This record gives sequence, structure tokens and C-alpha cells, in this order.
Amino acid sequence: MKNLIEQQSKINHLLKRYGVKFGIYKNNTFHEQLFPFDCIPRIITKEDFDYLNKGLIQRVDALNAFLDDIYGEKRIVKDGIIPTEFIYSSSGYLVECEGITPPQHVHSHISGIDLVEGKDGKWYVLEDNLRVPSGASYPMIARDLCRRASPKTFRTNDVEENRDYAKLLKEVMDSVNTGGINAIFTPGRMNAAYFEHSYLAEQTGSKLVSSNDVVVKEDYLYFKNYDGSLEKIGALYRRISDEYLDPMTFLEESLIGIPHLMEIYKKGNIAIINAPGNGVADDKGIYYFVPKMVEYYLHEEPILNNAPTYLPYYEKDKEYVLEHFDDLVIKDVAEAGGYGVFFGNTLSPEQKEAFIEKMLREPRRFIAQEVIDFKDLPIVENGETVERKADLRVFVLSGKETKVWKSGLTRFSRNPDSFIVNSSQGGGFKDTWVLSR
Amino acid sequence: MGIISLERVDNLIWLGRYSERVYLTIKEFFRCYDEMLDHPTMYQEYCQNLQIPMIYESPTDFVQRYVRDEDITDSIIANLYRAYDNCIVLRNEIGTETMTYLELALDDLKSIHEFDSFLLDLQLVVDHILAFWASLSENVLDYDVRDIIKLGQRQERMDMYLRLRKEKKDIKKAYDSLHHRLNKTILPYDLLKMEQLKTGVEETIIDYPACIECVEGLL
Repeated sequence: MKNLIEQQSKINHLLKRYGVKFGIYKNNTFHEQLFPFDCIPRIITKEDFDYLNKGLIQRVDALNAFLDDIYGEKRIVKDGIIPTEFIYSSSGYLVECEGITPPQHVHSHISGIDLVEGKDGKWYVLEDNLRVPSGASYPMIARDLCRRASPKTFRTNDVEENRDYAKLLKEVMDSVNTGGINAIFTPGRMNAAYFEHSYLAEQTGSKLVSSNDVVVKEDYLYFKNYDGSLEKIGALYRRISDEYLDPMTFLEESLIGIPHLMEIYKKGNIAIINAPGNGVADDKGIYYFVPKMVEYYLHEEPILNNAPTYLPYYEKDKEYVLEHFDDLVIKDVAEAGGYGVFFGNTLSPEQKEAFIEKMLREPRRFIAQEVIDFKDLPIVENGETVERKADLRVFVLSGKETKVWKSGLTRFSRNPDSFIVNSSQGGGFKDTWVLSR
Repeated sequence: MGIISLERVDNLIWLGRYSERVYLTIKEFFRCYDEMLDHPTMYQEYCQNLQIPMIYESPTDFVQRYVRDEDITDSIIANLYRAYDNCIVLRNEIGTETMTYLELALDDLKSIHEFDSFLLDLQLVVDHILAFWASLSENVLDYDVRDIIKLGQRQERMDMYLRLRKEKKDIKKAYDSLHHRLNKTILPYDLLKMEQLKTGVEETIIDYPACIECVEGLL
């Protein structure tokens, strides 16, 4: 490991060389930034991974069952497990997806589940990302470079391979493909995750396409070859939000979508990965109900823990939140990317009063969670080892079966006083090692 | 040929053109810089030859801004950025490995801040561009993708040689090379312009502007 750590600057140099960047808009201008990499990996023991593996498969299967139900029979609502307003008031719920059953009934093909490990050694799920979770390409390419930089480290440690992510992703695409080529649909070069889009296209052998490259014709989606010929697309891994996907169905001003895509999707003539409408299941308010989904759909005890969460929507929870406001972290369910998150004890008395008034007016809009004292991870900074907050995004892939990728994206805060690990807010990343024994 | 969109064909051609433009201008710049040691105003002739605006106030101003000023349309770095912009959307077609060499070229050029011995640093940019071409030949398996980029490269070389009033034998060689590449790709081109170019470069006195027009209108 020491040898690997010594290569940190060389590995970061290689990452730069390989164009491992993410885009960010600052003052309305697009910039590409390097994603700082720390060589000390997060290490997950085999025992821990076995536990997480079971829990994550269970959770994602339940979430897929929920999505199939919500856009179908809605049994979970009819049976009173989840209040109706949590479904229909969710910005991620799309009425346009009602009655659509995607190929193999899989809605969330790639699920990014954000976890933290508490100081008590327990793992907690912080968020489910079921729309277009990103980040797998970073540890994948970092592993490749780390192995090159320090072969000795990998010779002497039993680390599970993680460079098979593209293979797993291709398997998923193939398993739901309705006939035709696989394509990755990017909004373009100026998207924050463009590196990932193009890298995954290269690694999976899929075509990287933008809206100008494709056309819906006679109920199918086609790639437009330069010579005018057309090639049918059977699976479209879209890296674009639902609202921009099809201007004929969603935002009509979207210039980056594919007109009429939803029509052919409804007819079963294309697999869209992930399915549109998944936002209803990764809503921060719905998160509270995921353990109930496991019990309801799978008739099993949930294996993974949610962070203790309170919904001001429920009277009892509201009272608790008001009583313990200073000890809780509050999240606006409409926000993402680390935004709309604050700690109760950081507000001034006036801010607190104003916020509480807002919360009481719109109780469905907020959740409150106990602050998890999560484990700090060591990082190397200016030649010294220091500790920083870190989370873990694990990728669960669902096709014919549900599989957990034996790695993940560990993001850490570079600010010693911050819990916010998002790359858009200056965080870095680590490789995640899953030990094979 | 594997499937490829019209937009990517355009990117391939311009990737070839801009990377060749950077390569050739740096080589020309080396020659000019050397001459400037004895004839400080040589840079004015350089600009005239390349038909770029003579906006520089002194030899030092020329050296620094022509190489590194991103806001000057014809600077070396601006052309390298254009090559990079076309390259970055072609990962699917040319692969990560090949792309890295342009990334390196850009990083090296961006890191030039000290102009005392910068020619040695600029040499690294040339090296990376050559490595880019080598990697393209070595690692890109799709012949058509390779041929289109190389077509862009040959078109640019023909254009630059004419602008720089290179020796006739070099111009003829550039023409042959362009002709060969045009016949290898299946892209449509203006046959008449190619015929006119052929006649033009064989004339005793070359009509350079007319030939340049033929090259520019070829694809």
C-alpha cells in the first residue's frame, strides 16, 4: 500500500492524461475540472460485502417492484402502505409512464445506492439514485492506472476485480434490448459527466449518440449513418433527465431530446435504461418507505438500514423534528447534488423560525434525519495523512438478474469541516476495494 | 465501414486538419524563431506567409501571444484547442489511448509560462502529436475512421504548403498524398476541384490562391 500511496501524483497525472474530468458551470461558463483522486482505497471486507450484497439486491429488487406497481396496479397505495400524496406530489412521478411495462419489468437497470459506514461499524443507506446515477467509470479507470503504477500492491492484496463494470453493463443492455444495437445517449460534450458517457460507450462497445444522430421512424429508433442508411437501436442507455428525453411528451423546449421516443417506448420497441419515471422511487420522501417496500413486495425483513428518518408529514414525526431540530439534518426533497441539505444547529434563531414556518406549510417537501457519525477515511493531503468524511456509491445492475458491482465510488470531502462529498462541490474520489477473502 | 454519424465524420476531418495545422505551424515557428535571432522582424513575414493578422507589437509579443494566447484565433494554442474539441467527442471512434496524446499535447502547451527556453517544451507538443498519429495507425482498427482523419490531415498539409509557398516538389508530394487518401476513403468530393488542383500544382508558375481555393472546396 505504501508503494501505491507514493505514486499518488503520478496516478493523478495519468488520470489527467486520460481526460478523467467532469464538467461544471461557474458564472454561466462551462469548465472541465479534474476529479482529484486519493490513492488510499476504501477497503470493504469480504464479510461486509457479503452483507451489503444481499441487502442491496433485496433493496433494488423491492424498488423495481415498487416502480412496476406504481405505474401499474398501485397495490402499495391501495393497501395504505404509502400515502397517495407521496406518489402524486413527487416531482419524479410521471403520469406519462402510467401503464407502461418496460422490457423484463426492469425499471432501474443501474441503481446508485449511497451508503455510509457509521463509527459503530453499521452501514446506512443515505439515498437511492435510480434515474441516471453516475460515477462508475472513475474507480474503473483509476483501478487500471493504480495497477499499472503499483503492481506490487495488487500482487500482495486480494482485491476483487472492478474493471468488469463495462461487461456487467453490456449484459444488462443486451438482456433488455428489443432488437438492434446498444447506444448511450448523451446530451453532449457540455454535460458534467461527458467523460463517463464516452468512456462507457467505448468500453461497452455501444454507440455514443446525441439527438442529431438518431431518428424515430416507423415505430423504431434508428441511428443515422453518415451515408443516409439507418441502423436500428434496441437499447438506449440515456444519460439525460426525464424531462428532456422527448420534447413531444415532456419539456417541449428540449433541444437535446428525441422526438417521439416515448411513443415507441410505450409500444415496447425500445428499452430505455433507466426507465423514465424512476424519480418517484428515489424521491427523498419515498426513501422513508423503502424498508416497507421490502416487507410488502418481498415479504422479507429489510437487511440494510436507512438512516433514521422523520417525515414532518406525520404528526408524530413533526413533533419529534420540532423538539430535536438542532440535532437533525434537514433535506429538501426537491434538491439534489448536496444542495438543499443543512444541519439544524447551523441556523440562526431567525432562520430557524422562518424555516420551521416553511416546513409546517409544506411538510411533504422536507425530511429530517439523525446525523450519522460516519467513519472518516484517511486521505493524503500535502504529503500528510488526514481524515475526511466519505460516502460510498454502490452500483447495482439489474437485467436478467440483479448483481452488485464489486467496487463503488467512494467520494470524500476535501474540506475538514464538511460532510458534503459531491464532486460539484469540490470533493475527491477513491477506489473501493472489495476483498476476495 | 462501421456506423458513424455525419457529425462525427466532420469531427474526424477537422481533428485531422487542426492537429496537422498545429504540427506544421510549430515546425514553421521553430524556423521563424531561429531566423528572428538574427532578423527580429522576421515574424511579420511569418504572419504574412500564413495569412494571419499581424497584430503583434514586437518579437517578444509575437512569441508569447502567438504560442499561448487562447483568445487569438490563429494562435498555436487556439488551434490545438480546436483539435482537442474535435477529439474529445471521438472517444468512441478513436479510443481513449489515442486521445491521451492530444490531451498531453494540450497540457504541455498550457504549462508553458516561461519563455526563455520554451522551444524545448514546444518540442514535446510536436512529439505528442506525432505519437497521436502513431497511436492512430497502431490502435484504431477501423480503416475508414483512420482514412477520414488522415484525409483531413492531408488536406490541411496541402493547404499549408500552398500558403507557405513551399518548394514545388513538396507541394507535388502533398498533392499525391492527398490524392491517394481521397481514393481510399468513400467520402464524396469535388472531382472538378481535384482536377483543377492537379493542373494547378503542375504549372510552372503556381497560382497559389486558386489552388488554395480548390483545396478548401474539396470536401
